Amino acid sequence: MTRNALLAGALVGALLAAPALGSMPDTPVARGGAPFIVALADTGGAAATSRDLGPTTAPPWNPPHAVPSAEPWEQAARLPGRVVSLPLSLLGSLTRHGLLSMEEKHLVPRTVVIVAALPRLGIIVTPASLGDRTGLGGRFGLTPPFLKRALEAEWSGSTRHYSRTRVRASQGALSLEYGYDWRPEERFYGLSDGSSQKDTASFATQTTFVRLGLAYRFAAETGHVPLEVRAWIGPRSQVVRDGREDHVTPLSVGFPSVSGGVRQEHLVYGVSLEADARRGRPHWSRGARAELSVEQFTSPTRLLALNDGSMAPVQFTRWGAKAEAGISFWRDPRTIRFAGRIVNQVADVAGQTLAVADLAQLGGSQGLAGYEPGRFHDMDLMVGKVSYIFPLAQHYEFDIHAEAGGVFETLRDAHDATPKTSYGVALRPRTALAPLGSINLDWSRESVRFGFHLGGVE
Amino acid sequence: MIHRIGAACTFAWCVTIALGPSTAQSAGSRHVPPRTTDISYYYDLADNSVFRPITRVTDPALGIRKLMRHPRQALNVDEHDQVRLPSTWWQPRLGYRTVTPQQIKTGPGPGTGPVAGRWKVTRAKTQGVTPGFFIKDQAGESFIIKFDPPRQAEMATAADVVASHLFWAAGYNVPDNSIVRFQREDLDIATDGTFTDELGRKQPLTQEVLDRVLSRVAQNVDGSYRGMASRLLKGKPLGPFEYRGRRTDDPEDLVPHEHRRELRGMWPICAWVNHADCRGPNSLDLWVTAGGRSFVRHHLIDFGSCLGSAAVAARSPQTGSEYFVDYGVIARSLLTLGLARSGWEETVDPELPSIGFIEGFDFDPGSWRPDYPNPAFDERTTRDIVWGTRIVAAFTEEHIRAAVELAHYTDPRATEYLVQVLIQRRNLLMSRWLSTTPTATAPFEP
Repeated sequence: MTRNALLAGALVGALLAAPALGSMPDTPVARGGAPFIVALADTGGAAATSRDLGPTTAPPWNPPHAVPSAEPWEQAARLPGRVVSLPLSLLGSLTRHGLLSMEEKHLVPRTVVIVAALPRLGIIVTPASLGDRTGLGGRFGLTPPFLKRALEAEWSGSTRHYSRTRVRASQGALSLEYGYDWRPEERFYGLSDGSSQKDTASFATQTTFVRLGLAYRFAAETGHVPLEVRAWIGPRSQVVRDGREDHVTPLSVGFPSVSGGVRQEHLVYGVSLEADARRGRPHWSRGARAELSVEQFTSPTRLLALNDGSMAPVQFTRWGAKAEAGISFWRDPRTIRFAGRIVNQVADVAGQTLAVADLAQLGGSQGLAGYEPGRFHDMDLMVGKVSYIFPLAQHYEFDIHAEAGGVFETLRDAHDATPKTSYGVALRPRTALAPLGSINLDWSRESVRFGFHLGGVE
Repeated sequence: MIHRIGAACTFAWCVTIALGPSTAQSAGSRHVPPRTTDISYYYDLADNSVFRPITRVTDPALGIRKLMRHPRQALNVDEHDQVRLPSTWWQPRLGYRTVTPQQIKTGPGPGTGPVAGRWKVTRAKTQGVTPGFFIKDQAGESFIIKFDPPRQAEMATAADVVASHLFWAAGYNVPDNSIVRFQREDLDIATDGTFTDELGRKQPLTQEVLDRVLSRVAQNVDGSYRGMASRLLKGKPLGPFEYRGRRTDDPEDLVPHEHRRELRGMWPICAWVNHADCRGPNSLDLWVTAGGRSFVRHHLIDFGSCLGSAAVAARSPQTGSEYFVDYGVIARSLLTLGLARSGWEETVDPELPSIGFIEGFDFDPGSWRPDYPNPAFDERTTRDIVWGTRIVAAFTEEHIRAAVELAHYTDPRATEYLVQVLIQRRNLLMSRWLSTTPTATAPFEP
């Protein structure tokens, strides 16, 4: 059959069909109830044969020559942009071929299989979470499967030489943990929230601890609010030294009164109570969580000390309270969250100042994210945060938040203090189940800070 | 002097590259198949979600066209605004010829699936989230067998069969898909059977591997398995086609794909059946020898992510309302702090696991979107949409029911629900796009 004959057949068929229109069994009506004209070209005649309905084998219609994607004037209009973007086009072409090659070699499924297999072998490899200003880091963990998670060991390290080691043995509610932390480039700006950025000093801390813990979770299966009680006891050894940053004043020069170089040995014991009734996906959107804790830092007996302390430690009690609550509305949750944290530290001997690493601190992820990490240090702190999280699109949500708070010698000083404020936004890629990470921008009177997290957002 | 010549050569090269292959002439008629091509899934996603939208926003030519309200119309249409025939992409069926419900059930034919009896498994796929295998039945016909995700029994297989028959009736070239049931004992392993392991290596296929594949698949109470059998298309596979550009080495491919009516006009059909996964990688060109000649025939394949199915899970309610990366939705949400409520948030989940998520009440026929932008859909004009909508409008309830019955849903509510949803969506499409069209064949302005 020639092209013209086919075309003519189709046209005649369509024209013949016109009178048969409008005889649909379920005449459609617009949602608002307004009728509309229906025009169909279906024939009302005998069924087409399977040969008619099969794909053609005839040479297809084609123009005499290949038709360009764009008309000449369009090509001319695009020419400058195309020339300017040639490097990008080249990069795109390389990416295209690279990705295709990667897919042909099954690199992604292979990686997925290997990454998925590692936990089964008791190996955990993830990004490190060592805190702010610690550089890029990785975490390597071992959990021998034959011990059924009774023994866990992990090591984290970063490009700025921060490191953390943990070894934990557990049986039921009981656990025994060993930890070692090396934080070489911490910052101190002085005590109180009146401290100045000009007085920056750098310090390093080396902390070792052994801790016997007990944790018990109530009502996990009964549908009540899960309540967890934890208690711990164990020796801790901490040394504060001058920081390892060349261009920043060492702590011993900048703040000789809180100077480092002294090892403090403590016996630490404490208890905490946590109730967590948060729920919702992809981010927790309803419910609340509250935690109360008290921790005593006393002088250890010689038997329990990890090292010989060169001087008697400052003994103190740390009280802590944290609470957060959220409400949400609509199907893809728009969530308003409120959070607050209070730390109250009381030295056993009035007037004694804690080691700089034991002071309460704000700035960065500790609170007031628009300020540098560790920007404010003092005995006590109080900080509050309000966030609004709303969906941007199917795979993104946005977080707008504001924080206010400060550090104080005693919490009573909070009455007269002007709180420091910080504001921020975060873009959070998400799946239907959870946020995958976040890209943050926070700002305050002093600084603008950009950061990102991979996992561990909630 | 050398510098001047160099500069001239560089300029000429830049112009050549900038103008691209679009001005290249056809390769001339010949009887050798075009080269095999492939599309990177990741690049296709990134290109269409990020790079191409940016290019379009900054495209002065497109800006001028929008300003002048003068979009480029499809290039392969006649004076009646119909596809110039013959076409190796599309064949006039419903809307142009009388197609009976029985013919829809037969589809590309024969629609019978593999011959019952013992099947030889020739290849298995164990990696990825969707297991499956290739079989050869006793008549020597080859099929690929695909399965449902365990928690959504019947969903993906049903979608694959129903949508492929609807697309066939709409005129497109599709494989012959049907629902099959079989017992483990029906399967033998071909002597040269292979499988691709988790690391992408080909290994000899064994009974243990086959059992492992079936262990990831829902089993019926009587011990049988339900699958979707897709008859392998005849011809030499040339890889997927792209929804823009041309196969420059195919002398019969002289119209840029994004300007083909069959592809632009597929948008309302995809919107109707919620084929959000309509993208280059889900197509297949075949080098076919038939009717005394060899040529490229263009097929749509893989309909497992149509209707309420996302192949491995139910479709999310956002499907069809938003691209994966939807700048318009993002901008609106940012400007309103998320207080502009999306239409999909009003939708009601049918709570039918075999359906997944598709509904007809809140379907917006004016702004349906696939998972990520499709170059041909981006070029669509009202004429293209009306062309496709007329085809959708030609589906009567009997046609729709015939296709849906091919799903063999265990739950009769699922059959009824899907029929009603497809009718609702068809009606909404018609009310949106055909209300001002006086006749089917008269030419009209956009």
